[in-house]
Amino acid sequence: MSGGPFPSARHRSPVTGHRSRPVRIAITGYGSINALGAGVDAFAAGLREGRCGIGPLTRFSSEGFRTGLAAEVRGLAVPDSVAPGLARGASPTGLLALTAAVEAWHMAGLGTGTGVAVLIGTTTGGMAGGEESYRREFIDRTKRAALRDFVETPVSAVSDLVARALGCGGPRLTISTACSSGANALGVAADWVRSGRVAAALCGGADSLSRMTYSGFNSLQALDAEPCRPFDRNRAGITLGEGAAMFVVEPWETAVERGAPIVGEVVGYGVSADAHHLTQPRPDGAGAVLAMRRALAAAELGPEAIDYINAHGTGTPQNDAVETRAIKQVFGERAYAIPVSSTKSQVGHCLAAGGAIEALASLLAMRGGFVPPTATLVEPDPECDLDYVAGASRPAHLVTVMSSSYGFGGNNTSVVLRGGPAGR
Amino acid sequence: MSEVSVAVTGVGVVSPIGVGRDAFWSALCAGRSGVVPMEGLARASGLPRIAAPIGELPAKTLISSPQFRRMDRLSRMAVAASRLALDDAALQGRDVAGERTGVVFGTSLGDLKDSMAHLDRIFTRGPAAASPMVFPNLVLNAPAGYVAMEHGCTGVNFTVAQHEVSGEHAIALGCDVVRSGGADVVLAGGGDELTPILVEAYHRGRALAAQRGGREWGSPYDRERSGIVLGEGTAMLVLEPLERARRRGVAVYAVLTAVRDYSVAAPRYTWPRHADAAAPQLTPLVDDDIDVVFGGANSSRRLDRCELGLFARLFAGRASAVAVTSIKGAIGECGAAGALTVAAACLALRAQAVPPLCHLIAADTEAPFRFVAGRAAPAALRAALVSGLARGGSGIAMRLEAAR
Repeated sequence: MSGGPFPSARHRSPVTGHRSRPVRIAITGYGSINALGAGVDAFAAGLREGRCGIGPLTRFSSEGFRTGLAAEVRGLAVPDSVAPGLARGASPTGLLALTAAVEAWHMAGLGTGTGVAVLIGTTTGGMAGGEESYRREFIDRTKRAALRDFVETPVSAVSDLVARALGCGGPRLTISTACSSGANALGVAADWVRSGRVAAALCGGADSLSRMTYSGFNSLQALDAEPCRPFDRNRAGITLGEGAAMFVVEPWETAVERGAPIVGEVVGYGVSADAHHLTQPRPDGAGAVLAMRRALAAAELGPEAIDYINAHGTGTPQNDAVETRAIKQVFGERAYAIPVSSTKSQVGHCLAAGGAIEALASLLAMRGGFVPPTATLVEPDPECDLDYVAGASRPAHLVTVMSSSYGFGGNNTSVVLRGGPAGR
Repeated sequence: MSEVSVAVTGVGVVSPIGVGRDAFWSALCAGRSGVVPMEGLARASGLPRIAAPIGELPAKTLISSPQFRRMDRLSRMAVAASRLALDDAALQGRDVAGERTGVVFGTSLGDLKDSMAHLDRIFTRGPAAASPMVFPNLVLNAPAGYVAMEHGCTGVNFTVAQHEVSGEHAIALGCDVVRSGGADVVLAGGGDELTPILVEAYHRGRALAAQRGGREWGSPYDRERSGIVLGEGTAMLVLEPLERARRRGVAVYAVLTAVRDYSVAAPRYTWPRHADAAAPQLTPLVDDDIDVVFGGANSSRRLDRCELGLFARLFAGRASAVAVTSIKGAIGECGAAGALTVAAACLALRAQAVPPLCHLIAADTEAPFRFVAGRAAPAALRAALVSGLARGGSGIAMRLEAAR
């Protein structure tokens, strides 16, 4: 790896933030909602069973699109424990984030939101609601948009909603780096905690289906008419999904002291930019390689420590081939011995939420002692010849995993995670 | 504090009062405002709204990337500002190409204009009419992506958004990256664009300056202020370790020594009534060396009063020794205006002068702060506090010291 030496990762993260003594970052709560259902247990069961949450698009008409598929969330509502007034007018993305946040929050049992930071990754923010309001007023001219429709549209409104609903009084930030947003939110939140800037953080990613993104990906000819099949010889694009995954992170020592459930550890993460093209990955995979190497350096681990890779694996012809190339560059011959799977085969491509959802999938895999499958992979592509765990999950003892996300704009992030202490 | 001091060595600005550091600073010092009547933004009465648009952007002279034609307007503004900043910092292409240069950009709405155009197309011509050339630019991280492409920066790359404090947060995150050793140089800043739908939204929220004869141009901190005037612009700073800047022999504008970000209780869609609750968190940034405060005051009744209350608490006992200013009378308000505010603070610390408050007649406070009106006032400035507060209650403050 070229470039300057990285400072000792125990003391600082090569991305942002540092502390004069080592601080391990514990994950003490997680929450989930996606096409496999609401709650982390439903997600874990769906992952293990290899269920595919992709089905017909019902949110809006698929007429005019190349495909009619999506991985939709059903039954989205304001969580019971949140006073309805706090979430009035919230966008679908806001409710997804809130649902996952509430579960994570209750699991962690912090008790107070004083000084707790909120970092959320999202690309659409409230656009799913905003576009409907816009259409009704300015196109159909049937109904004037409410003021709150305007105000809930910006991406930062999601962080405001979560902070308000849970009483989090620390700093707030929204990270919007396309498909790597959720992963970056987790990484930066870990840095904020590691540097002592905040005592704890509620972080993750959320995105909802919208006509804006669906039509956009359709225009790029990036949507597969079949359920996406990452790494498959016949793969033809992505299947859009929606959902959220949220985490509570805090210093390991604090978690132990207060008897909190430790369900995982953020060991390190790495970030890079392709600086190549807004939508196409660098064919040589150099950006992905750099992010993976930086994540390993931050984690102070060599490639041999990784037991499983949750790939970005979108199902586009380009990504899957480039990603495979990049994994081989980083892991060498050992790449063939590491299971690699794309859980997008089960919950679709949830854009900004993806990185967070996939970090969660990785934690649940460690918890449950299994490798999630690339459920829809049927016929391997000769160019993609790694062990992608086609079709069905398999039991495995996983200690340390890597999850990677690559977004529009050439934003690459890899996160290294460990599971909680035995049994969690 | 931390062992790495972060120096600002380059400032690049694309603003309603000028493109480039010198044009921006001299216009600020002259008390010039970029607020004008805009024919493209009509009110119900048919009269034009006032806003602060950027003028002609000499994009082709500032952007060399083959991706130029694909870039949306905001991205062009960002790339142009990044080029200006790098030139200002005496950094060439090969100095910044590679993985040791990071980019952090703050924008609250990104390319909203094209987002609306995209919706117009699909809603009027059907979903298949979406343009594949336009859609990629709708992600908020498109500007940061194009900045990376322009200069070949393959290092850390983040885009952040937090309403009206998007710019400050991006610069704060950029500082973190420098401090951690994650990059040798970080291009940090932000930008937002003026769009009709945004003006309409603020209008419906009754947040815009009343347009009647008199004080209608946006007058931060003024007793008679009646509301916000929207603007647009981008600012990019070059951040690097102070030691590195000294080794390079490049002039340093300011050293960023501390940042505090926080949130205070606020109604959902507007500013808090009081931000006094933030005072205890900000006192570590405040000492007797602070000679000037660059606030985020944007001429709204709420925000400006909120800031004045907060500043009165922070500087109790020495208010008469502190100048308080805001540049939003000159450049208008937008999500990333804080990036231009930080740029102005850096320029002020180098020039040792306090830029005036546009349109100020009488400040809306009893506290004896120094409010400069008319033209910039020379002043011994040892350190500056930059303060920003967003609708919904998230806030941030940064301490900058003049280079010694």
